[in-house]
Amino acid sequence: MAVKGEGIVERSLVEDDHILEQEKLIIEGVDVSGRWNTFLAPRVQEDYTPSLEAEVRALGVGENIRRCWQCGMCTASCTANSVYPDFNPRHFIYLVKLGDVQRLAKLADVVWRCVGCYKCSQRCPREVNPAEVMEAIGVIVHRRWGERVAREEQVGTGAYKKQIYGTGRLNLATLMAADLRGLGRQRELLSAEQMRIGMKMFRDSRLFHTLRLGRAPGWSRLRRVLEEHRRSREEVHP
Amino acid sequence: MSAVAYYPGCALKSIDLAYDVSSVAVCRELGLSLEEIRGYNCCGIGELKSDGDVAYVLPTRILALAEGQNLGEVMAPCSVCYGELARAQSVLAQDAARRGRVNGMLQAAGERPYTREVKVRHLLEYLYREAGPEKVAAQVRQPLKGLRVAPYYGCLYTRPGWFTQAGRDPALDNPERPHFMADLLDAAGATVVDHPNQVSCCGGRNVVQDEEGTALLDYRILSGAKEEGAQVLALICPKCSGALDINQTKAIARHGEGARLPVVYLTQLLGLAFGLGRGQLRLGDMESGAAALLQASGFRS
Repeated sequence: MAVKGEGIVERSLVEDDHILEQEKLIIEGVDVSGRWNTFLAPRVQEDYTPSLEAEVRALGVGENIRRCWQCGMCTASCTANSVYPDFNPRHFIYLVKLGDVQRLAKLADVVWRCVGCYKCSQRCPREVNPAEVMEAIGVIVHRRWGERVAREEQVGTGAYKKQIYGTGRLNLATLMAADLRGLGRQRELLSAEQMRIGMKMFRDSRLFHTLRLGRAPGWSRLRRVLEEHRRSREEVHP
Repeated sequence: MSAVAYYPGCALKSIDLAYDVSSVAVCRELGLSLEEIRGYNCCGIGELKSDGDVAYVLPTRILALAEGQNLGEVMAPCSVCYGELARAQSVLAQDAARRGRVNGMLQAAGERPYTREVKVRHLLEYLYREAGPEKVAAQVRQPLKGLRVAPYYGCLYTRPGWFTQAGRDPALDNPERPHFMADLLDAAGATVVDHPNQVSCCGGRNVVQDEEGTALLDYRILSGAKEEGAQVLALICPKCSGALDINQTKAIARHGEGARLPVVYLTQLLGLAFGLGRGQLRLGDMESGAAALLQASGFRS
């Protein structure tokens, strides 16, 4: 067999060292070599958190996870799955329902790769809204295994939230600068390409418009209220 | 006709100014009356959803501002803004408890609460249903004859249907196989190119977080349209522009020249057909060579 475990449905869900193959196998005098000589090693669950689904449902997003009947329409429709075979919404939901933190931890740097295209939610026959369940599972992953999440994601998401909650406006120019500074790539801001775009935007007046974006009117009061609610949420689930 | 509340959002007032000015100009030509929402904030751009109830406060404040201006409908050209507004509108219409919590936060900050129902519309659906192909055709001064255009709808214009009602309300576009943009481009005289990834995602959300994945998604969309003979890709979202226009060089660097294709906004093409001037089209703002292509094809702005 060319690929180990070839022919196993959803092969990407099975870890390599769990697949046992024999070159040639005879059981009770019958030669079962070929497709029948592949086995899965027994698995022992050591770490199990039955409250995980309740934790997801308490987040105020993705509450419909309880409706999921594991049909797999989400994964079949998924944009991120077409780039990363390990990104499998049906499987993520299955792991949360089982409370299988052991396997979810291994996927910490995959779960956030949802692009938010909502193809899954469009097609889900149970209105689970898997796209938003991915947001909720992403929160769990950040809380428990944040250090395993790619730095680009940590910096990118942090910059968005800081700017939107801070000013009530989205300034794409300062956002990109914050991203690059956070990633230690601030020198790229002075690259020939960035200078060209900066000069072009200066000449065509977009730089002026960008500087004028500022803050949303009356934002400081709303900012205090929103930050207070975000803090109280974190205190419930530290 | 009564005015609709116009919510341009943040991108259209800065980097994507071309989409703002061309949308306003095209609506004016078609006799559609817009009233910009005053003192608005960012919609949340989908990045706050993980914060639960708090995330609904931002789009709900925008709906409440429209209500305060006595307008029953909000129209947004940006698909991300539209998605956030449609999400807040549909969720709060069905969940009175959440609506109470969200309004509570608004009122604690001295803001107006959202008390009535405000209808949320995307620019494309608004243009199609309030003007439509016939009125567009009647405004054409310079038909886009011979120009092969690939319409690209992206995600949030229709998805998910239980926020937008697309696929449920038969008057709205079809989420699996939309046609509103193709019909308007056809009315403007363009040759509409059918291509495989019209409703696939551009990865715009992760342009910084995941350059590699985004470049692959963009390559698939751009090369798929190019292989079908498109000269230009037409957009209805500034986030898609960030991925497909501004970051196109990254898709080319990773996957080759197949990803090289000029990108423009639908409203820039309609405006060009209407004979609008440079200041209302701002074709030069686009990064992937649309201005040069359209000039070489003999179209004058």
